[in-house]
Amino acid sequence: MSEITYHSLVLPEERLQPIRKQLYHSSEKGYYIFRNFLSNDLADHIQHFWTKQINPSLSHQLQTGNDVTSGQADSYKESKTKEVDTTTYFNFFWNPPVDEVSYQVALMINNLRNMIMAKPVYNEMLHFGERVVCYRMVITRLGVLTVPPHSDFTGKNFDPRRLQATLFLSEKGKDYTGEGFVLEDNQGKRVIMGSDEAIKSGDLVIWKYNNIHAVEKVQSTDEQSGFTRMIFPPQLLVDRNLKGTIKNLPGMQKAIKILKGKK
Amino acid sequence: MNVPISIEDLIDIGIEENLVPNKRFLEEWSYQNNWQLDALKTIGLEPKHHLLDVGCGPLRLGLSAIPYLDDEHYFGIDAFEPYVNMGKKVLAKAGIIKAYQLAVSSTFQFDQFQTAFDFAIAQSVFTHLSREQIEQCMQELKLVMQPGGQLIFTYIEQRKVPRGFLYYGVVPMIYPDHCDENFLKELANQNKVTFSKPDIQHKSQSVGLFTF
Repeated sequence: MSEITYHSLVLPEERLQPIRKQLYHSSEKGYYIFRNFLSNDLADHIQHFWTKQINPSLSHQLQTGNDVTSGQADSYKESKTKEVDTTTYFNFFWNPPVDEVSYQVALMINNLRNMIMAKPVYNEMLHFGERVVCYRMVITRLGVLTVPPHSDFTGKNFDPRRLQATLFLSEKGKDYTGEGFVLEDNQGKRVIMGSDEAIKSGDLVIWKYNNIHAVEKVQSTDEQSGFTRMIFPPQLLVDRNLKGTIKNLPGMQKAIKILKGKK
Repeated sequence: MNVPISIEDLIDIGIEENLVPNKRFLEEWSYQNNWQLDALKTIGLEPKHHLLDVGCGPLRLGLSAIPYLDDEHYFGIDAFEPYVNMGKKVLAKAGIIKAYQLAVSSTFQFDQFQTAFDFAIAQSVFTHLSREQIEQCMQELKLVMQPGGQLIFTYIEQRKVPRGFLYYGVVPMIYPDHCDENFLKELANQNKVTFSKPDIQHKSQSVGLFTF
């Protein structure tokens, strides 16, 4: 039986290399599928908890804006119209989990993503820096263009290192119909996850954040649970403690002048 | 002939050495390339001189210094082997055909080149070495620098709190707090070299010069 050491708990570089190449090299796909990342019992538990069990009015606050501040409570948002039916739960690692299974799985996925990006495993888990990861449960039952095509961390926020992770917790055909998550690969070819790539509940896809992606054309019946996934966007903290950035908050310039005057 | 290297090229070559793309590194590639050679020329580097690039990385400086210098007058050394391997591929991609020498060493084994250097550069090297490592670097440099030879280097003066970090998630390193003018003057005295601050600006760090 091999020894358990720090190094045995961290993925070795030679294991990470082919994953990184498939993600970052211009000739490769730009995404990597970890098939059967979660066993059926864990995937079923998480899907069931967030689609059937949860009572968000008791466990989450209603989300009122897009800003994230350190230590804020978990929140949720519902969009229900004739064209759209999506529920999103915004969860942070600094809050006690409403579901331990989801929390632990989210933590492991964030660790994995950080290892692939060659970042410390705790990176953006808490409010140390500019951004913090929000592990979001998203359930889409209906939507033509739930998330319009876009790419992240481009332009002035250019960061080619950034990866996103999507834990799939539903299956096309069984839980929803239509398209769902659509991603462009590194050659610009459109890939529908669940059609062009067979995806089962419990599969984890890690993909390049710069590549164009969207959630489109989802439909489900009353008996189906919808397109359910866990995603890990790193959100800007409005009260982040960085030189220069906090000065730009409304009212801060006046406050700084007053404080300097008092010194 | 120098073929321009694109950011995509750098990402592809880097990932072949298991180096994930680094935003700041890529954004500053051209700036650091130009700044280093310009700074060396300002203090007198000519094609006939022998140059030691301490912490050469993937040869940002090498890309312009090797064509500038005479054949086999550029010597690069780095502790991180993937960088050295990436550097060789960068030069091949750019079509550089002049000879150069590279080595991997975490203990500043400059004497393996068996060359006396007129100039040396350490850009963003002292910024993540411990006091002991900087002292060791100086001792090794003293063995290989020509009398009157110069080391130009960058450092960060205002850091108050030292920080440890894992470079690329695997190599333990330090951002030190000791690297201020007093430390550098003391280092110069101990090693019987001269410390000065040349009139050369860098966008994010201070610039120092040791004359041997």
